[in-house]
Amino acid sequence: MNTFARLTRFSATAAVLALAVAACDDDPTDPVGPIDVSIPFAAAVNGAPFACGQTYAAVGTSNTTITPVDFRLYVHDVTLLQADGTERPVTLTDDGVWQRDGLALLDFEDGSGPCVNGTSATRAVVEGSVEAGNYTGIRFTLGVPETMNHADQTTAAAPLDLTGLFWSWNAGYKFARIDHTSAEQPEGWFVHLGSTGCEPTGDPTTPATSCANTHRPTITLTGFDLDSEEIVADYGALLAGADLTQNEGAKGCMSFPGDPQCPAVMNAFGLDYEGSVSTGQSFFSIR
Amino acid sequence: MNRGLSRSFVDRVGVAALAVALIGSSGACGGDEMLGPEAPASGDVATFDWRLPEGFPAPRVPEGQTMTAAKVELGRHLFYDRRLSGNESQSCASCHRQSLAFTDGLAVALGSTDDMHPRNSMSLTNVGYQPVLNWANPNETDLAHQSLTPLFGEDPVELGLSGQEDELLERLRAESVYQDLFPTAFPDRADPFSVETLTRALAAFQRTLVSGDAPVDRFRRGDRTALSESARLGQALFFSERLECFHCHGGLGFTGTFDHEGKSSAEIEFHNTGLYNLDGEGAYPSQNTGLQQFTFREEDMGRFKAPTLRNIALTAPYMHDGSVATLDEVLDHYAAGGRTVTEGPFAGVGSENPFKSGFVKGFTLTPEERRGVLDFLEALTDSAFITDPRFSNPWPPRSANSSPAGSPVENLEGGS
Repeated sequence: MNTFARLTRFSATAAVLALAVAACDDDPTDPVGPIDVSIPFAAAVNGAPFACGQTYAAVGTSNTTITPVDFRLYVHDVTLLQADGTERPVTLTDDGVWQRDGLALLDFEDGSGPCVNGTSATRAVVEGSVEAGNYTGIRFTLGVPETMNHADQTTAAAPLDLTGLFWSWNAGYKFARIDHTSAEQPEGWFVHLGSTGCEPTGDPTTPATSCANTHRPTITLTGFDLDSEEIVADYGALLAGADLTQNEGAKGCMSFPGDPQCPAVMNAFGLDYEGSVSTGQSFFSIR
Repeated sequence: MNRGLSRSFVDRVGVAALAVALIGSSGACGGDEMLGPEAPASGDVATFDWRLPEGFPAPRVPEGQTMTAAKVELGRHLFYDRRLSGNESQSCASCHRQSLAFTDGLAVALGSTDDMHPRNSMSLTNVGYQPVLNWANPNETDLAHQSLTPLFGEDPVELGLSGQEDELLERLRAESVYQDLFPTAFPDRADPFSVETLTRALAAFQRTLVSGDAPVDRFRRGDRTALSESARLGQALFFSERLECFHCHGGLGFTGTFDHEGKSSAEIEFHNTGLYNLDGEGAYPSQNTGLQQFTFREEDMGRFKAPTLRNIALTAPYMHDGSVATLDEVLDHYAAGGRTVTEGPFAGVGSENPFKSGFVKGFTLTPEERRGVLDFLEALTDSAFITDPRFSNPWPPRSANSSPAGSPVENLEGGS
């Protein structure tokens, strides 16, 4: 049974891609060829829908009431998983705005209210094409691939042209930017995920291409039906182990070593941090 | 292969059309930059007049960027324009004032929203010859890219434009002066207003900030009267193995980190000078660990770039964190082979920092010798550089009939 009943009609671009996929398919027994797929995402805070201007109670170990001010993520290497263990990569549609060369931006903030550095447009879906199949799971990587992360930001095309996601001084992008304020931390408590420990590899005149901590967690979610379910990124789950009244070092957790606010956040991303091994990601779930 | 097919299809057929289409459909996403490297402009590329001091090679210009008088003029206007900050309170020139050799006189920079930067505003003297930028960022090699950090950085906030690139470009579009300057500087662009063109113009202007007409330069060119006897004594000491200054502050740039057109390869150096030693094991204050902040390597703790000493008398206070007030105290630090902080959170014996450069070994100076070294450092001041109208604020003084924004531009010259 095909789980992709929500197929949209082929756009011109998708048609070109689909034909290209078919022409290169090595499997002559495949009767269907690639189909369009639309993978829905949602943002939440402790299960409640995320929205700019809303406040959310009881977040973190400190039970803090927070006001989110940003919620954006990059994902790539999107792969669908079948129950029998086979996996098929999703060829992301290059739409010139949200997706390019296998990279997709998810943008849940709409620039309203306290989301002052955001954009009015939002995006909660990853679109592409994939071989038809009976898919029951998904795997993707959070972040910007290394080959794109260190390219010149002054000439980068969408979705890598948003200054709010530049991490220029650190030679890359913020892979995830999920920020909030609270009465206890009115200047902000920020989650900025990105590669750290970056330095040039040999030729000092080229941008950095090597980072000690790549910080690109691979997320695997199984046992769901894309017809009726969606992938939820829950900020409350991400901060569940963090004391939001504390702000030593960087504001919140900005991925650098030695930050007391980072262990709980990095663990929830599924990332090892400062010698402690993650117990597994808890940021994304199926709903 | 599919990806390659679709990419090359887009590359060959659709880039310009796609970009144009995006402007119409997704202005909110900031997708109005043209793609790809800058095409060489016809005509004056090879003939750009650097007006270099005698004996100075041209700065190396990154591949894909070109110098033209029009870009420099645009960059100069942008450099002094307060619309380049989120709240329109600061321009580049707020922290980089020509009269102070493009520094601000503060210990650490103060951003447009009152964020304190952990570091001292760097001089832009000869910045076009710097193969790596900032105090200790090994990844920052291009002035155009570097400008993104003060413009859009958030930790700390400097000019405070993160996420506001569309608004910024709209502000610039609305300025009649830019209606001429942008298309003239970037005649091959369908839309010359973009983050890319903005950063390239700023870089072009900054590359022209060449200083090479100090008394020391005139002395080298044969004017024996340019240096006093005391300064000549200081010069001999500066270049001696007794003081060791020249190892890190030598050469044409008076810095060991230097590059220029035609140079076989860039020279890049970072040094720990024993300014701190918080734990007896070499630690620097956590906000300012130097190269270690990027490499995470223990031995890179406290290693910073040796800044140019040209115009050094104008750029107090000193060091990466502005923690040394005067040149005389700088000499105290080096004479002691590292600074001892006696109390407070940063207490420690810097001279015992295990990562300290071997050249910081300490020395003693007679009062006459100390005066000589200070006189030599003063003789690195290029008074023409800090008064050159090519580098000054091009905007007319604020007046009742200036632009409706009221005070969009810097008016730092003339003591106002």
